[in-house]
Amino acid sequence: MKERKIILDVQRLSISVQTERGITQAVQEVSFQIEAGKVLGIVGESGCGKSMTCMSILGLLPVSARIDHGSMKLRGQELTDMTTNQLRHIRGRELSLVLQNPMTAFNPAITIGKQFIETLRTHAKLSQQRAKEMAIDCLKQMNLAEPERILKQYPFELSGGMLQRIMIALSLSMKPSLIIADEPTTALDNVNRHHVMEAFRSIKAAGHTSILLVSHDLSVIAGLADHIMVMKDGLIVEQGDADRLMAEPKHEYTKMLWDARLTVNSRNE
Amino acid sequence: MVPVLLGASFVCFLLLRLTPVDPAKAYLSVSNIIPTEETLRVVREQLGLDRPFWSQYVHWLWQLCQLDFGVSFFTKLPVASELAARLPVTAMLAFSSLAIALIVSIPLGIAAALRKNRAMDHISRVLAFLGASVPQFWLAYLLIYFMAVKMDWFPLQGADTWIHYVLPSITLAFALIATYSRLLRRGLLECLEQPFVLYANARGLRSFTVIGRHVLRHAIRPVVTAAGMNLGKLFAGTVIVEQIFAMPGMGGFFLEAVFHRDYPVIQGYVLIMAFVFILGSLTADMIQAYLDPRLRQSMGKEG
Amino acid sequence: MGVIRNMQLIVGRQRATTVIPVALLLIIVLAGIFAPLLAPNDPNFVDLSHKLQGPSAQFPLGTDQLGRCLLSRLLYGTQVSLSLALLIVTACVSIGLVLGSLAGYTGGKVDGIIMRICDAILAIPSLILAISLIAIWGAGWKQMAIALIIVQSVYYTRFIRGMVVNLRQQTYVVAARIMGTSPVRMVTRHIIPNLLPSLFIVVTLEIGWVIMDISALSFLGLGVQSPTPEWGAMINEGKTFIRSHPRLIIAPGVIILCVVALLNIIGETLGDKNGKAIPMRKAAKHSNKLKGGQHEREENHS
Repeated sequence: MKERKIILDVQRLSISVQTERGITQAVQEVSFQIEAGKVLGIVGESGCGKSMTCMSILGLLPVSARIDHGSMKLRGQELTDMTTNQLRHIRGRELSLVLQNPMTAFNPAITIGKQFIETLRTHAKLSQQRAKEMAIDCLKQMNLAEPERILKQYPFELSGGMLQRIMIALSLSMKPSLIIADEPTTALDNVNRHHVMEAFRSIKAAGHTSILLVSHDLSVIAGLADHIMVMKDGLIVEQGDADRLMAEPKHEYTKMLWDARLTVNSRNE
Repeated sequence: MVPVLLGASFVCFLLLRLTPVDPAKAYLSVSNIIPTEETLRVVREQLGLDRPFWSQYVHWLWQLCQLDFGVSFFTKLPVASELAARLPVTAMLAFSSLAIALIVSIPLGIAAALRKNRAMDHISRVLAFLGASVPQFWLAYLLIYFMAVKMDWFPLQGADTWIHYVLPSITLAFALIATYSRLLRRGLLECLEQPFVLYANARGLRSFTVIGRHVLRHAIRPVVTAAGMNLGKLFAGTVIVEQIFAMPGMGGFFLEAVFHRDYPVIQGYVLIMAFVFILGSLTADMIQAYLDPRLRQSMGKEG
Repeated sequence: MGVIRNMQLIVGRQRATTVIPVALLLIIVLAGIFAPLLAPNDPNFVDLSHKLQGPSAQFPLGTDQLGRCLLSRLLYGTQVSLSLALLIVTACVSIGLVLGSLAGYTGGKVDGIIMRICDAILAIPSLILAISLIAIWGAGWKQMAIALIIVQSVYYTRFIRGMVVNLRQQTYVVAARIMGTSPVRMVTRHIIPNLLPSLFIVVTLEIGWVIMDISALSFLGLGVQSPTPEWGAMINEGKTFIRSHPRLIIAPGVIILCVVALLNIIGETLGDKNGKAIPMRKAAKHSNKLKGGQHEREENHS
């Protein structure tokens, strides 16, 4: 019986949010684990708390939200105890993020290259030249053509699909233990979605990095996840092995989701 | 740009023709010559006042292109050279005021935005109100009273050394600081909501880098626009400040010309001001394009 | 009518920050109106035997270099400044409404011409243009008033024109046009009433600026002439005595500061509640080169 290493261990995480109407529980008693090299997919409608969970792991909750109680351990280290500075060291290095809309994720006024290199140089002592070489390597690994030219360009000069792959390349650059991908394919068309899925598949195949994948697109989840967690209104409805869950959903809500087959195409994005 | 400049020049030209006093008579009175039929005729011919309206305008424009602004009624020297001689003082004053304003308002704006609704924010708000409500000439005297008269730290007048510029620059900077710090604060708060700030933080960048490198260049754009448009107000301020602090700049010279009814100088100064304003707007636009590459694209398209 | 309801909506919320400043401002205005009753002495009575005295029972704020009561001069000065400011602003708003509506509603060549003229005038800093006009016409309050009116109405014209252009595209306006309402009626009954709330806010702020301009020009000796008491002119007269009697300079300045600050507070509070206030001096100069329009909604001087 091989003991798989647990990369992320979340226990009874509870987050409350201050809104105009008072305090609401965005996330209630959520517990899950992600093993090394595995992919956990979180599914649910908008507002179920999946994005909040992700942001809290990164320590980037909005000012109006607060972790009431619960623990989150990344490779054994308790995240909720860490100072802002400690968290900052982890972000981008051990833990990285891929956002839904790559067009808005990059600063429109700065070249891709500068943004890539600054991330690298923040976490490792690298010269400008060395960092640039690393960046080019990362882009090449994503099968992006003409990496030197890409570095010189501004975000608005590139397409959404390319930017998303650049963001994935950036997230891999420091060889993190865990990548959090929040709706990575939602803003993309079919062709680009395919490229991005390929990218995630190769990350999964390499086995070094775990992925926390959030999506309301079931085809994406089905294609990548080892384990699935279904959330509704801040609670976990059902979780377990992906194949089993997809074949024999136990909970009513899960069954409803599978039946509805929420895909990108059926939603007005 | 050019049509506005032309339009402004026409307004300028018109200015002189609006006078109920005959320019010829004014010239003579300033020169202490008794206006008789003969002298009036000579002066009119000299000043080109006997020609038809449009011909005068065109002639005047032509002279302007050759940088001939006419001759001062009072000093009898070419207006262009008189103004040019006094330009350094005014330019220095304007520049140092702007510099002080930026040096103070940028940290102030950042502090107010980051510590929103706390002490720093409220202080900056009060400061901004004061800056917008205090009459500049009065502020000048307040500073003179407390710093120069009571403390004797600063000289009262003149423009010989850099110390002479301190009080006048602070006077002018005050109103600017009021506007810029609040604009920056508002711009920062809007900017901090943007996704790219979230992503920058998610990549583990230091706050200093996020604010200084990423956010500032977006948030400062309204300040740049305001600075470009407020350039005119800044120069209007130099007129008053130069007089109060007895600084030999263009503004003070303009004011003297006003009292002497020295029309060529008035005209020349007004024209230069229009030019400076347009230059300021252009510069502000260029800086905007530098800060945001997307603008360079659209500007390129406009041709 | 809808206008009154609109106004109530503006003032209704956040009473504390509107009521107190308005009350204070009202006190000052009333002090000005009732100056003849409140002033302990004749503001123009020259009595050199009493010159440059400190505060006393007879002269609560002391006297100036000609033995005139400072407090009385300040009170009468309130009358002068506020009435002049009101006069100027009223004229400017009227001109602005007429020209702005004309330009905004008619569009086309008329709009183009009016805007070009505004652009040309706006290229010259307003105070400098005002000074130049006074230089040509001679110093005096009438000349100053006309100069300021000319210079200020350009801002109002631009600002109102912008709003009219916006409103013209509103559905109810288009509907009224389809029903065949005449242009004049359109403007007076449909467009202008909806301008008024924003205009009101802007006017509140601009009165402050006008008061500052009046005092600045009078300080330079170009506006209100002595012996008429005016705050700026008083500062000018008092400046020679700055070492010995700073009171002569400080008192008038404090009043200007208070009045303008109160107006600014009121204007900004109203503007904040509605998000509509666009500082005129900025909006007016923001010609067609506005990029993206996101800075259209810029905030106030503070």
